[in-house]
Amino acid sequence: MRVPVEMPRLGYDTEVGKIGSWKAKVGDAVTAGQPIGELETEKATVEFEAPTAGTLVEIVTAAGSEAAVGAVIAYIDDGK
Amino acid sequence: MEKPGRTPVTFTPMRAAISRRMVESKSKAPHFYVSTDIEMEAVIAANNAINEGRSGDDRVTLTAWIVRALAQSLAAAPALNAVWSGEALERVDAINIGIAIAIPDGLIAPALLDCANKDLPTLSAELRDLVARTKANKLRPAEFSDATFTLSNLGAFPVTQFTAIVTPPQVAILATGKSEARAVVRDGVVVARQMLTATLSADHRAVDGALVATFLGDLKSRLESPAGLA
Repeated sequence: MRVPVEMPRLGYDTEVGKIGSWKAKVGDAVTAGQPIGELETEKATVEFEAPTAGTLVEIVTAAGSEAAVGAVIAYIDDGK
Repeated sequence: MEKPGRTPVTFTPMRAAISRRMVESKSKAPHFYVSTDIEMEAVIAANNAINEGRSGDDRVTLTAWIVRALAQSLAAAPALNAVWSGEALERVDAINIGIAIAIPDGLIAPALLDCANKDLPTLSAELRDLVARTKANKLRPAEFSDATFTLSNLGAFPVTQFTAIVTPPQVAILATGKSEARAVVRDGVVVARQMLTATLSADHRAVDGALVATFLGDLKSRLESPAGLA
């Protein structure tokens, strides 16, 4: 099943997030909780984690791009 | 056009964010301030006992004791462990104490998550880890977003006391200075004791003075009789 990875909310007053970089690439096996990328904010770079174990099958939001909080930024196939 | 003898300062995104948040806080939240002096002799003695045989990063810090006591006092005063959601105020079950950490060109106060359910050595280790990861730009989203209260501890500097600005969307922040020997009166006699001044800044839309005074009294008691903290 393809599990969506959503853009997390970073701070109460932000509605969009910016992907700084992807640490995992399409085809990589990931574990639940593994940091798979970084978000850039005004104050810090924040790591975000894989919500489930599986294979990163699609990156929707490329590094350097922004997405709304809650938007799907990638998919992980959990093999179930 | 630059004026002679003056250098224009270009705001980094960090400074712009701090500027925006602080103006928002001071213009929207009516602040009031309540202070208390806390005797730290018992905590220092207990901390020295715990650190017997510990070295380096294994040592428990005084900040960890303050966080531990704060978590218990916040559990007893849930009105201070709250955040604004738009115009609505929400109390939060989890006690996530934001720790103000100085970083180049600014500061950030990431949350030590779920402080109420962690013992003293755990809090001390996680505080150290949080500071290291903040400086290494390796915070997690929840740490960045989910603080419910903030501690600003300038005890590493020669600071007697100060007042802090509440971090939106929270309703209170505790400012602590250095623990230092001061002349105090005990049993009618002036004696020297290690003392620390703590000042709570609170949003008067959310809470009132008597509640804050009770909270500070509770915090003072927990630190002055720290058997329940270790």
